[in-house]
Amino acid sequence: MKTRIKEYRARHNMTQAELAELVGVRRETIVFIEKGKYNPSLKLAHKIAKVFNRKIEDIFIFDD
Amino acid sequence: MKRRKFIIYAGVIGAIAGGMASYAVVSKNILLFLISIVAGIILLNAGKMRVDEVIEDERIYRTGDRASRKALQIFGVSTAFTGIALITMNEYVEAGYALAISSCILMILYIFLYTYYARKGIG
Repeated sequence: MKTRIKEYRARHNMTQAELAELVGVRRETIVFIEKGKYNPSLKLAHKIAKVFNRKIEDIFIFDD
Repeated sequence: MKRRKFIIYAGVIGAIAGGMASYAVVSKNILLFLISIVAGIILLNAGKMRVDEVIEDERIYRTGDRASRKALQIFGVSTAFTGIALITMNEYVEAGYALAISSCILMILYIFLYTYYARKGIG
């Protein structure tokens, strides 16, 4: 699964640590999600999308 | 407290509690052993509550779940086989029975907990 978190973080001038704090996870978890090495739960994906005021499918791109 | 400070704190508490528990085992003092284990757990949890940053999140839990399941499989099978081997070879038979029975208890506990969580549902 690919994500556009890095792109949205840049748009909002946000660091990984800041995003991690906003959604209640460790910075390393955000790193793993951005690299595609960890698939977040629906709850976490929703929290991340809410931070950027977007839909989940705008942030996370599922490979079919 | 910051996470790094907590790691040092946890290391110190672990070393002290572990040392006390080891001494208790050598001196055959069950009370001291229990106190050291319980005190260690209480102090660790108290320290965890004081940490400002996130220590454990869903990724840590998921990784722990996977590691625990593998450890259970490896430990369960190896203790069962070792116990059966010892009993069969008539060497250290009591230890063999202890290993085999503990392996059975572990499997029963796992089945019980799995059934419980399967019915409860995990959010």
